[in-house]
Amino acid sequence: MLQANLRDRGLILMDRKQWKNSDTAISEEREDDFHVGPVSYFLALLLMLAVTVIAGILTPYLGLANVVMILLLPILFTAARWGTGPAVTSAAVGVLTFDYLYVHPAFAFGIPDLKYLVSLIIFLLVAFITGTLSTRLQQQVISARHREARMSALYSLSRDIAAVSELNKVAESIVNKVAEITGGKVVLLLPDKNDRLEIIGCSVPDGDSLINDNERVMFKQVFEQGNKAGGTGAPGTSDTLYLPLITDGRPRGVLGVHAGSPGFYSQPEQLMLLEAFSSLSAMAVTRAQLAEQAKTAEMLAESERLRTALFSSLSHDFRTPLSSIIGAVSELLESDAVYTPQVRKELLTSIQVGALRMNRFVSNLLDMAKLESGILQLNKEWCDIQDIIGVALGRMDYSLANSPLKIDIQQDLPLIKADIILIEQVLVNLIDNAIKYSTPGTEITISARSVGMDVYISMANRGQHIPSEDMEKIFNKFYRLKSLRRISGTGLGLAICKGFIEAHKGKIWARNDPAGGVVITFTLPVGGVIPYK
Amino acid sequence: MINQGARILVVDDETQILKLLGVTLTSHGFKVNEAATGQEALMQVSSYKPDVIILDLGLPDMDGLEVIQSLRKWTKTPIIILSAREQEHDKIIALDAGADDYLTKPFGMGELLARIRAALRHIAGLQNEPVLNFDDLVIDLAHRRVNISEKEIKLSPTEYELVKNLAIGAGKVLTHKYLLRAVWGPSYENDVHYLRVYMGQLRRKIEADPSRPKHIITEPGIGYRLL
Repeated sequence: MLQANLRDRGLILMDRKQWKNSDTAISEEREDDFHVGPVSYFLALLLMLAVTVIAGILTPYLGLANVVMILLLPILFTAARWGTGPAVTSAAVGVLTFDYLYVHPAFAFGIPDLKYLVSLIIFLLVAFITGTLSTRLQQQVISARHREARMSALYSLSRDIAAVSELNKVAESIVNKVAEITGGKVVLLLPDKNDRLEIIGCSVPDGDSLINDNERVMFKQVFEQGNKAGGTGAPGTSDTLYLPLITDGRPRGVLGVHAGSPGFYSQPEQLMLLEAFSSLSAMAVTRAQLAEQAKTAEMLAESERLRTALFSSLSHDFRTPLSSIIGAVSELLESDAVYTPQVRKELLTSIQVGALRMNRFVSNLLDMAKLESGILQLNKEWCDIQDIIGVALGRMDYSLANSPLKIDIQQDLPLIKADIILIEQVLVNLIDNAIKYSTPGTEITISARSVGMDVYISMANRGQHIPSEDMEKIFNKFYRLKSLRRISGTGLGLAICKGFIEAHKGKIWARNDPAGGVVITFTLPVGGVIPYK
Repeated sequence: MINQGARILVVDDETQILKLLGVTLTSHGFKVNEAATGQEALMQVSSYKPDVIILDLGLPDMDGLEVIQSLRKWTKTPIIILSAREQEHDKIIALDAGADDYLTKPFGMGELLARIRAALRHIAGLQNEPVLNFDDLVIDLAHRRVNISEKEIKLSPTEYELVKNLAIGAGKVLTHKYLLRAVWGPSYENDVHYLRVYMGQLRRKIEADPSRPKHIITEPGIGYRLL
């Protein structure tokens, strides 16, 4: 009935054959290997009788004393093979039979037989001592085998969790391994942010339903006091063993084990193994938690670094155009009479340029902030790529005055579902980038074509190459190539492109054009089927 | 000149903007009145009777949209709205509620003047003209003919309807919804893909360089305008 109960609760049970074949099967070996049942006694007797008969036949040739020695052989064999019980029986039966059959008078017990009492006693002693030694030896062999199995189980677990530093995977390995060994179900509970225990790993799929409220109280108690509980294995009870995971004297979590068979708990070797496991698990869990803390700290350090870069960038990139604006304006206000209309126009133009630059920086920062904050919402609608390119070129018309433009758009390019404002900004940023890094007066090429379910758009400019180690870094925030010319800009343009493109589930990358220059390509998925009515 | 003496009401709570617009528009020959709140604006429209209203959407007392809705109950005076970048949604709602055009801050005076001129042309009854001229693009409504640099262009009926609506708008922005309703009908007012496809076809027929259009200007996220 217990079997049926356990099965109903969805346990993973293995049968005997699986046990023997698994490299961690250790609980039932003892009985199998040292089988002392009625069969052994029967075989022992058979052997003894056979040898007795042979001995009797040989008596005339070897003499009684020698023949009696021969009887020792089956006794020793029986002791070695089947242990004390059968050996003692064998000894008694041997002497008595021999006496009865072959000692004068035959087929009766006579008085001269008393000296065979000595033989009998000695035989019995031999049988007993040899049997006991043999049994002990067998037990030691079995014990050694068990120890080996235990070591290999511990090794197997430590190998599984050594390489893994992710907490969930570690928990999974632990509960599955322990479940394998105990043939039952296992849960691992760890404290959450508020120090309340929650199930992190479970060897059966439906974890939460396994633990009832009483058990939760037990888990909490074990966690707080750091002492193991349960596992008394009273027959017929569904008992759970609660093992605290302790490192540095502090409980880190609790392992709950519900063994497959109640008899499990009465084997001290199994309990020792489980305790060894719990220490190993405690260390692994602690290590995984520390690894996660280290990652968080690294992320915080990284955002600190970005913040610092941002502040120094802001400071420089706003102050520069502002100083040219303030300088030009104050001159026009105070010393206006000094300047010719020509020069006045130049000063005014520099004010305009500075102001437009600041406007661009503000836009870039806002875009970056949107990406970082995670509140970026895509307003997708069907877009015509040629249309968006046209808008971007219109916006950059002034900057493109000195750059010949080549536009190559595939005929019948499909509409794509995208956020038109964001894609337009990507194109503007790429055009701006192309102008900045191209040799003045050289051609800029924009091309668009469709490949399968995606559209590929490229921006190519002539100029210096990007060093291969920087190919991906240029899409990082605040990254700027080392260039001979002083290039203005916050270094955010390409990072914004990457953020917007990836939000559309597209990809963006750069490559060097062997003929000199750089090509930046991005892809956008078509995004659906046009619903023509 | 259409400009001379045209009355403009500028509504914005920022004194700097009011001063700037007042000074520049006056220098270009317009008469300018100012209002700093929605309530003031409503009063000024009935008393000052401007020819064009320039309205900032971010007013302190009333939502710019409310002002538009109030005004549209009784007047057809063109309204040009001013708003910040990235409020496409607000702009579309304002345009659909009756505003005629929009400007995104920061804007240049050239843009503002172009919008004002387009608005004034519109109310001057130019849509009743049989022939509309846009530099090399000439649209003859009476004969349903479209010429580029004096050469006739063959347009499908849908393409013609589209360019006709844009031309009658005369430089004003027309929202996606407006164009879809006008050319395809109310049940198509959300089917932007039709608009995209036909606009593309139109651009390729009308523009010298379809990738750098001079006539059919796209206002991303909002609509189209014909210049």
